[in-house]
Amino acid sequence: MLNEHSVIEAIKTVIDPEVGFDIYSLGLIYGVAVEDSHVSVTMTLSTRGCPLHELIQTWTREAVERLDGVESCEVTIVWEPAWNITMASEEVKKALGA
Amino acid sequence: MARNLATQMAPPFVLVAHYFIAAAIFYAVSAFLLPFYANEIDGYFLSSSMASLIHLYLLGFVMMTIFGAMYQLIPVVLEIPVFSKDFAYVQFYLFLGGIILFCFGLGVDKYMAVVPYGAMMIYLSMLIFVANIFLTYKNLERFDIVAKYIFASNVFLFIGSSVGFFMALNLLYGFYPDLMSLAKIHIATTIFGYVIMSIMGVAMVLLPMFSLSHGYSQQKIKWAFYAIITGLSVLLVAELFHVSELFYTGVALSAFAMLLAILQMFDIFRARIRRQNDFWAKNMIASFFTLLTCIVVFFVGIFSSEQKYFILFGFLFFFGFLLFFIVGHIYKILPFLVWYQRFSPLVGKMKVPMLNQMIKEKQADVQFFITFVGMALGCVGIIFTSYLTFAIASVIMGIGTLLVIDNIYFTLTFKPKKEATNAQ
Repeated sequence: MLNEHSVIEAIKTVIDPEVGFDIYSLGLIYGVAVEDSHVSVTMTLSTRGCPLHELIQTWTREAVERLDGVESCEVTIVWEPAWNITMASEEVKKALGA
Repeated sequence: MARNLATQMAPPFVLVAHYFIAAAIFYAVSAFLLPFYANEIDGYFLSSSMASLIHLYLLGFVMMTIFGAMYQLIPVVLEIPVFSKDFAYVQFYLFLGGIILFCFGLGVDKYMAVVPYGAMMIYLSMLIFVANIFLTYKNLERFDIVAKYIFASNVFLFIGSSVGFFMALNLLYGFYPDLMSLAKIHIATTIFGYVIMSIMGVAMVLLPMFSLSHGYSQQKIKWAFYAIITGLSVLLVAELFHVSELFYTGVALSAFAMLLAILQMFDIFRARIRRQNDFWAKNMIASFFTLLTCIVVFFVGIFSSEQKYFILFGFLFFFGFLLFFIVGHIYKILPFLVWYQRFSPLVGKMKVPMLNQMIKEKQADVQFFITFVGMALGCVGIIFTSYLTFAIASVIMGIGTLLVIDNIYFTLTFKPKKEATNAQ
């Protein structure tokens, strides 16, 4: 069944190849909204000049669109509030030595 | 709109690979030749044989890497595409041919006549690069501090390479007697105007990106920008009009700018979230520590007037600061380029490798240690004018070079282990 939880589980399959963690655990996902078969994801990136910017956006959209019942997914990148390490999971913080 | 197109705007991998592979070869050749220069450690730093090695290393390794990296980084740091990728290919082949001719002519006395031809090819290649950058700037939307550094560095590259070309012609035809003034202007504009300013600019993007630093002030690097522009301009005026007092003012201002830049990098490192001291972090710390040492050594040279301190400064600057900075970033940038080219289309379809798997991390750590020991021993050799010590140090550094080259080859030809490529 399509809901916020299933969308988040799909997003967790998107891994940042530089850091080695999924983008949800990194705290990059600010919001998920499900409206019928349309999903909106609001997210940020750890740094503004990230060369993976467009790729991570595409991977997130594709991961969500692979879910049953999703017709379209819109991924919006925002810079406010700026990402910081407190947004990441305890596992990520520990692994990064933060 | 441009902000989310960094990778779409990036040049093809094959273009950047041209520059990086050539740079790796020039690095290996320079490292191989270094022990043969042991008997020049108490020599004259403007000798033609020394100039041959320095240009082989600086043009072939350092600037070849910077040019290649710039084509990759400009879309990332300035968020605009490079004006012409075709220009970049033409520039590469002119630059490559020019370096070979130029350094061969400088290194082998009886072929000195080819130097101006090599210099002309290098000069043309640099004009193409500078034109490409300036035309790229036509589409720039945000003229931030990084954009200012890259723009100003290219103005200095234009001046420095013009003076360099003039020097090469002068070498053959001897129409301008004051070689020392020209050399000072050439060194100041190319090494400090172009190389240092480019590094100061891109470091403001790369260091926070790789160390995940946030919340630091950029004030120091902004002051450093105005200090180095003023310092280098004063230095040029001093040399053109032969005002020696102004020369030292220019040197002091430029050194002050570099100190500010080092402090800025320290601020970034203090604010980093990624606390592991991996091979990249070690290389960066060593790089800026060596730059600080360079500044001290330079002033010791000025106050003592001993030639060996300028040789020591050059050795530390080229084979310490620049080497650590470049190698540290090759370990980061090259895996990304290969990964982006070969594995990014497979994301979501197969399990793809992480970037750190595309480098032999242990080997990178060992290489860092070996290079650092070699550099330190080289300094001892120069300070005590021990040819043997310096030759041993060069061989140790050469081993470090082989380890870098092997790691580059590993990344370029990376084959994921079977379990890493199974479908998810």
